[in-house]
Amino acid sequence: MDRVRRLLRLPGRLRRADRDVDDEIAFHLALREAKLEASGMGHAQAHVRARERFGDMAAIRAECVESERRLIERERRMTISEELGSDIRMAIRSARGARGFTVTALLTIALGVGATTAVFSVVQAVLLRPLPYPASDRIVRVFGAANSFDAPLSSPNFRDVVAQSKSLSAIGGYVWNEATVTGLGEPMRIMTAAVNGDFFGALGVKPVLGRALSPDETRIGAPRRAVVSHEFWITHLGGERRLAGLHVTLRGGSYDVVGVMPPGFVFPGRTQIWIGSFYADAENLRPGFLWSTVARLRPGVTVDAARAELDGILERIESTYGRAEAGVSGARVRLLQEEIVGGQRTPLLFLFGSVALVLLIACANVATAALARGEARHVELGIRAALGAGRGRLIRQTLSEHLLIALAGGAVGAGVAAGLTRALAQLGPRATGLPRLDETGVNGGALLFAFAATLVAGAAIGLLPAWQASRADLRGSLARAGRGTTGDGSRARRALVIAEVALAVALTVGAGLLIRSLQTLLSGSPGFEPRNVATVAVSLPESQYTDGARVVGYFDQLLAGIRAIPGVSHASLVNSVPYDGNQIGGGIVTDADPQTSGKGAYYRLTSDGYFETLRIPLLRGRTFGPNDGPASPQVAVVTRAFAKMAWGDANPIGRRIKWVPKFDAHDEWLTVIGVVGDTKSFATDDGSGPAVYVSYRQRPERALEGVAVLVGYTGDARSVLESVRRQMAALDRDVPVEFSSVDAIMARSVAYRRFIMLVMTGFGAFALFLAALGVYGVLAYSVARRQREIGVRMALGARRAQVVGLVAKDGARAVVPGVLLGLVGAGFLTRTMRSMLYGVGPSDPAALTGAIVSLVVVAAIACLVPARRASHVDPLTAIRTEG
Amino acid sequence: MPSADLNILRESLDLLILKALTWGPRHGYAISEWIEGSTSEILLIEEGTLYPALHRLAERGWVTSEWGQSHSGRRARYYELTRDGRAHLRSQGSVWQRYVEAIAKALRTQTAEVGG
Repeated sequence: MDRVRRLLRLPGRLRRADRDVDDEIAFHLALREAKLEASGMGHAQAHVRARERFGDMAAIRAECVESERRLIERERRMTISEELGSDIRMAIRSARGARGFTVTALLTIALGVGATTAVFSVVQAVLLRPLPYPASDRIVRVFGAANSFDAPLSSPNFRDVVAQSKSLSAIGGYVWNEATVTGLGEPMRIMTAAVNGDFFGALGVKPVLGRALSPDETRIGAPRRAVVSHEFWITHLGGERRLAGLHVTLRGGSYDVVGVMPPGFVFPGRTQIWIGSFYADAENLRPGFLWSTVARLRPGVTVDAARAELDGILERIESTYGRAEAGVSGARVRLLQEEIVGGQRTPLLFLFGSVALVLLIACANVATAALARGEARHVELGIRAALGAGRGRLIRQTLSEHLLIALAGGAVGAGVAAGLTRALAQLGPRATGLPRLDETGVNGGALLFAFAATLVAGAAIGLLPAWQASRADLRGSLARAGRGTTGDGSRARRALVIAEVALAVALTVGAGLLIRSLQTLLSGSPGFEPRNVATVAVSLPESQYTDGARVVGYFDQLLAGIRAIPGVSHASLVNSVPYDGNQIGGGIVTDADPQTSGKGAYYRLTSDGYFETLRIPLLRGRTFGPNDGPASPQVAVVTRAFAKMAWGDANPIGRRIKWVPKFDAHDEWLTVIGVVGDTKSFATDDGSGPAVYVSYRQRPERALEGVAVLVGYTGDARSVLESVRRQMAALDRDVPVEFSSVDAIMARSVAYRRFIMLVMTGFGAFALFLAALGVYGVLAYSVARRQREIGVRMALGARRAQVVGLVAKDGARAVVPGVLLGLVGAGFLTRTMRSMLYGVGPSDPAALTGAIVSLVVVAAIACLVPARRASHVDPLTAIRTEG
Repeated sequence: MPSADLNILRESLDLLILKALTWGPRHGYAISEWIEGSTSEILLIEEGTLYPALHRLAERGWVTSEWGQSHSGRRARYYELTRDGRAHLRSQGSVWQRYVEAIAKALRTQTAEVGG
């Protein structure tokens, strides 16, 4: 009753306050006059008397009009808020009424917003968040340009840059490596950095306790001082606030601890201890690569200006000393931030774009369902329009209904995002190859993003139905009632489904290309046999292994012991396992052209048995033997690619090569004794990179920098490794060890690609599922609508197969244009992912076919149910129910 | 008219109007008739003051009005008691009653007692 009255009530602004008041007073006077006359008074007298009794007419009227105006104004305001309230109440009521639609829509939006927000969080943590250093956008990395190689600076070059640069305010170098720290319980392998110049000043981070190393303290010959990380200080130094008397022992020396860095500061990598330079032999070696360099731009100086200046400085060095002696020609300067996340930018942004497309598909899906629902409700909407619900009101109501669903979905989505993000963060940088991933979390920014995404989603799903509602009119609705519709709504829905299919195809093609890239990466032979080879990272403490003989003694004993273990086929050592991301290389000259060092090669330090362990074929000559020791002539084994590069087709055996600059003091001319097959050094390597193998027996001190012992086995890995562990413990308890396998190292080297591929495949699958759902929705609706038609056809003798064909044709009308559009879209999408592909083109036929086939298959499944329903239509019932 | 008297009058008029509406919606004239009848024409000296009072009550949310048709077929404004109005009448009515009784009692006492 109340409702009807409200619908019938005139809008506030149409009412006139003064007229109402006048009417009311007139009514009163008329009744009073009538009563007075009835009691015998004359007409004229009654008129006067009634007014006398009424009182001061003008004053009363004025007071009433004023009050009336206030009332009208207030009522108008009330109506708006009341309508808004009733909009929301109606939205909730209608959402409850259509539980299936609401739950599906809510979950779709939740998943869409959740996934998008999670990826946003990762993008934010990895790409957008500034590094945890003051004014981190002013910190640059400086490299020397050595051909295509970004080279660290040698000590003399570093000194010259520090002395001459005016665009940089603080310049620091660091060399990062693992060292064995003893004297604090068990010996341990700790990431340490030797620093040079104003390293801490360049990063702008001050210790929380004590002081940093001054530039003077980093020089060769300065007293041994160390700065430690907060974590190291707490864990290994007991958090002792009195630093005097604290020291750490590494590299055969004892370092006084003078400072503790703030928590979280572990640059570079996960460094725990910073000490000064100890590279005395490199102090005056200009053609060397030693110091990774960070620097702070002076105020007002741009990266480009700094690059120009440093380029000039290094070019002058080159023209002064010559190319071979200078080691580099020119400089490369990049922002530290870009340097750290540079490789991840494209794939991450690509992922973000893809997840946004998934959200779009999700919205299209919900919008399709909402349109279908709107059509089913056209009678209700029409009646409400006829009862005086304004067009604006209907639009507002439809919008608020969908916004409400979107908001609820967004709220659930925030939870989904938190869960997904936590799961991603737990994977950590190691499994995903994403730096700073472990710092990811759903923060205020991400929540704001989720909210914005939700609003966009709400608008996306609500606008079309709102437009549909705005066209509601009773006559049309009633005229169409019971016949179903074939109007604009249906066309809009079909267009949405086509768009969904197109986007899903594009995403699936993208995912397919990534899968194919990874396949290609993993399928090609790396040039060695990685299976059944365990690795043991071994680092001998320099303090105890002070001379080469002891090092060789240790490894001879260890390798012999391991070879004696039952089930072990080979044992050897190498300075870096292929694919471990730690491949080092250097410049080299050959006897064919001793004046230039234009050639580069990987530097591999190995023992005898290395090629056998990894089953790398020996092509010519021989490999290292136990007799290639320090006293005998220095020898080398080269790869086929190296031999080809250095001497063409000539026989390389007996030819000579030399590292420039030297890797260590007694590097001399090496005589080539053998040629082996090429091997890949990292996942995307084509294996054509030349490499030179040298014998560790001829330079055992280089094995102190850490080597991997390779154990080839045939039996059970676990029992073999247990024996190896016992063997090593018996040999020297103070040597820390870390087990892995060549397989695992290779898998880790593609972790990032695998991560991106898996996430992308997840998106693709979700998109396919959503598209299938969309196709299903359209077909199911159209079958329901055409029941009568189908009934008539069947009554006229159409067979089931023909009816199924009818539905399939309907489905094809959405799928075929969708697929075609999708392929066009994929063309644009894949153009952006060229740098992420390996071994496949953006129009890889397998990826394209795979995407089309998987879409057609899910679309066919989506057709199945409606087609079955159609073919089981009973002609009589169908005609009756809709007749 | 001194303002104190005005307040008392206003307050009493308001209460009477609310009371008049406890039997259901009425238009202004009917309310004035009821008040006249039940107070022996003492209170409503000028009938017109009823209307500002009705507006006052509407603004306070104690009554609402709706245009309707009177028995004679004329457009008339009907006033109706709201839930708030009913509550106000209930609470203020008893306060008023005690107040009136107290005044009456005071006025009934002998003048001599005051003097002496």
